[in-house]
Amino acid sequence: MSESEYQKLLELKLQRPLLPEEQSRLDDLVSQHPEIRDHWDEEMQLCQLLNRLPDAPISSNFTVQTLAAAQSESAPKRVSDRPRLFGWLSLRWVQSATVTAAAMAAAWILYDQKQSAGRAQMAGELAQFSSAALAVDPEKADVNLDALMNYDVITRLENHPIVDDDLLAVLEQE
Amino acid sequence: MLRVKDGDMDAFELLVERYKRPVINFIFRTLKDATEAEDLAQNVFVQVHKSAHRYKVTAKFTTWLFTIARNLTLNEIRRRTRHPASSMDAAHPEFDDQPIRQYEDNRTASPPDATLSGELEDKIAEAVAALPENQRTAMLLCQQGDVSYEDISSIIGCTLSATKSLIHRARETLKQQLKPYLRTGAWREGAQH
Repeated sequence: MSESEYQKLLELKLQRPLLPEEQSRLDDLVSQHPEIRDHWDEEMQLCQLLNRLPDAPISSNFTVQTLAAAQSESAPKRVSDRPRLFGWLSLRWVQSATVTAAAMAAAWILYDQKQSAGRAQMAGELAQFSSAALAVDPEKADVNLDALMNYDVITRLENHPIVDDDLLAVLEQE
Repeated sequence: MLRVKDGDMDAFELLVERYKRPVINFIFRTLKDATEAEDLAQNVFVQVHKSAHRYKVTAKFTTWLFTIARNLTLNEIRRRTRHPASSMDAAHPEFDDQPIRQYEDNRTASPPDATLSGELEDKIAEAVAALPENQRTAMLLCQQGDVSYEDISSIIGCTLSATKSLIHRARETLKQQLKPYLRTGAWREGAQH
């Protein structure tokens, strides 16, 4: 019992000066249990030693620098203060998504325009080619016209020579 | 603190002036580096200012303040163990021959007493810094005098009985480490000056 009471008094003493009634209670304990005196003295000596712990030096402009740092930290808008849609969707996110979508739409329009221009150019060149072919061999105009209109046939014609059946027949007779 | 919550910078300045010494001392006695202690203490107060909107009246300010200080100190200790760095005095960004910080020299003891006093204080500081972190934190906060055992237990995240046990063990260790000074009464001679 006296040990726990001694511990309580010691805990109080470590935090603040003892009240008069607490001090007299301690004196009673020490008189009844002299071995407590040595322990108490040692504890008080340690308290005095710890009071000698050196203070850290503090620069003269610490407070000014701290205030400046605090103000500069609080200058940018906090995330929680940004306006939100539906309570969760950040307006900034919506703005970013809108800009991205607009950029993608513009890129698609440009690409489509380029494709269309390319097709138009190709059609123009084919038309010129067919006109030139008609001018060179009017008798074969119908055949050439059909062939020119079929682009796949044209490409096959380029890769494989045309077979002259009439000439072949003449050569076979010989 | 409620005024700080409302954006009152004058109130924040008062807060800094009142608590800068205990906060810097608390960090300094762990890190043993005055420059780092100041930098970290500044971060503590900046964090307090940033988080002021979350402060609740039911919470004791010193508990909150020292919880932030302890967490930042622990982060610094972990960072140091991962990336040990050599310390050097920082030069002023504009004037190379001047230090970035200027400190007042408050020591007034005569040379022989200063030597004894300085040696004793170094020993005490070494012994405290050598304690395990939770014991040192609990003991230092107890030494502050204005932090209750319940608040200390909140700061270090232990039960009340565990906190008192930590303080007891820390003090027993210190008594062993500083026994020569306790026996010779050197603390008494130094205390007279």
